[in-house]
Amino acid sequence: MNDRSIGELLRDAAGDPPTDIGVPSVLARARRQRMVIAGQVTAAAAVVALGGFGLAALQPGAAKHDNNVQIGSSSTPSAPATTAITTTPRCVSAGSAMHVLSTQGAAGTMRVAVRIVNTSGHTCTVTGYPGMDFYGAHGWMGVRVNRGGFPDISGRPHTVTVRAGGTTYFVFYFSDVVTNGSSCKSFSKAEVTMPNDTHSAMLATTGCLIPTSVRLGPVTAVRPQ
Amino acid sequence: MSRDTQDAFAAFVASRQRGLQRTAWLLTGDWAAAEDLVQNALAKAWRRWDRVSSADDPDAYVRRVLVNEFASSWRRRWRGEIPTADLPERLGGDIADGAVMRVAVASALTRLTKRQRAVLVLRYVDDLPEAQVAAALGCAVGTVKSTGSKALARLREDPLLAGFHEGVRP
Repeated sequence: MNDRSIGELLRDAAGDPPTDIGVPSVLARARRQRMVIAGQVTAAAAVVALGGFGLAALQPGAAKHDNNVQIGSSSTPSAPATTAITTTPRCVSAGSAMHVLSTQGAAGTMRVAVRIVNTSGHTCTVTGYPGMDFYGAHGWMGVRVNRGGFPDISGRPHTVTVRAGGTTYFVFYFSDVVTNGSSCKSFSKAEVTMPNDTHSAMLATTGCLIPTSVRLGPVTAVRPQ
Repeated sequence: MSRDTQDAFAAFVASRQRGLQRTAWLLTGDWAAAEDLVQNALAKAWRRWDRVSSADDPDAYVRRVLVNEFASSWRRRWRGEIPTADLPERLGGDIADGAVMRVAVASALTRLTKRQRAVLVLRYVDDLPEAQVAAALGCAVGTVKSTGSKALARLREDPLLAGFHEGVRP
C-alpha cells in the first residue's frame, strides 16, 4: 500500500458526487429562506401587536395557533395585506404509532418493513431517516444504525406530507449471522425516533441481531413490497 | 437580480459545486446531507450575492457558510443515529474495495470532533492556507495548527484506516 497524504486519502474516499446541484433548486431554496425570515419577522411583529390587546386574543373564538405559523391578511382596512404563510409542523414520535408491516429473512439477513401512522390529529411533514435502538437482556443496546446499503433503502430522502391518520413507512435490515466470534443479541422490542425528533416511540418486534449490522432507509410514502 | 447577475451565479455554482459537495460529504459522511448542506450554503450566498461576488474570495465566504451550516446541523442532530465505530457487516456479499475504503474513511472522520474534521477537510482537501481555514472557522491560526495536528494523530492511530495508508502524512 503506497503512502499517501491525508488530502489524497480523503479525496479518494469522497469520489465524485452522485448528482449535480441545479441552479434553479438553489434559487428556489433561497426564496424559501427569504419567506421563512419574512414570516418570522412578521410573526414577531404580530406578537408585539397582540401584546397591546392583552387578553382579547385569548377570548373564546380567538384564532388558535398550535405548531402552525399562520399569518393571514390584516383585518384593518388601511393595513397592507400580507401573504399567508403556513408552516406545517414536522411529524414527531409522540404523534406516531408504529407497527411491523412485514418481516422477511434470508441467508441470515432480516428485512423488516415498518408502518408509521400519524396519530397527531393534524397534518405533518417528515424528511429523513429515523433513529433506532433495540431492547435486550441487559437493557437498551445502543446499536449503531447505518443508512442505506441495500437497493431498496438507498434512495434519497424526500419530504412527505402526512395527513392526520395517514401512513408512512421505512425499512430496516439486520444480520443475525455470527461472525468473528461475536454472537447475535436477542431483543424484545425496539424504539424508533422520528427524523429530527428527540423522543422515541415503541415498536413491538423481536429477534436476534449483530448490533453493528442495522441498516435502514428513509421514511417514505410508498408502501414497501 | 439582473440576468447577468444570475448568469454569474450560475457559473459560480457550476464551477464550485462538485468541490463543495465533496467537502460537505467529508463533513457529514452522507451524500444526501452533503447536497442539502451545499444547497443551503449556496442559497444563502445567492441572497447576499452582491456582497459575496464583490468579496476578495467568494469561495471562502461560501465555505464559511457551509461550515457554519454543518455546525448548526450538528447541534440539531437527533438522538438515535450513532456514528459507527466499526465497519459494518458485509451483508450483501462482497463490497468493492473502494466502497470499503469510503466507509472506513467516513467512519474514521465521525470519530473526530466537528472542528477537527472541518480543519482536516478545509486544510488538506480544499488546500486552504491556515489563515483562511482560521477565517472560515472563526478561530485563531494557532488553533487551526493544533487542531489539525491532533486530528492527524487520531487518524494515524485509527485501526479502520490501517489498511489504506502507511502513516497518514499532511
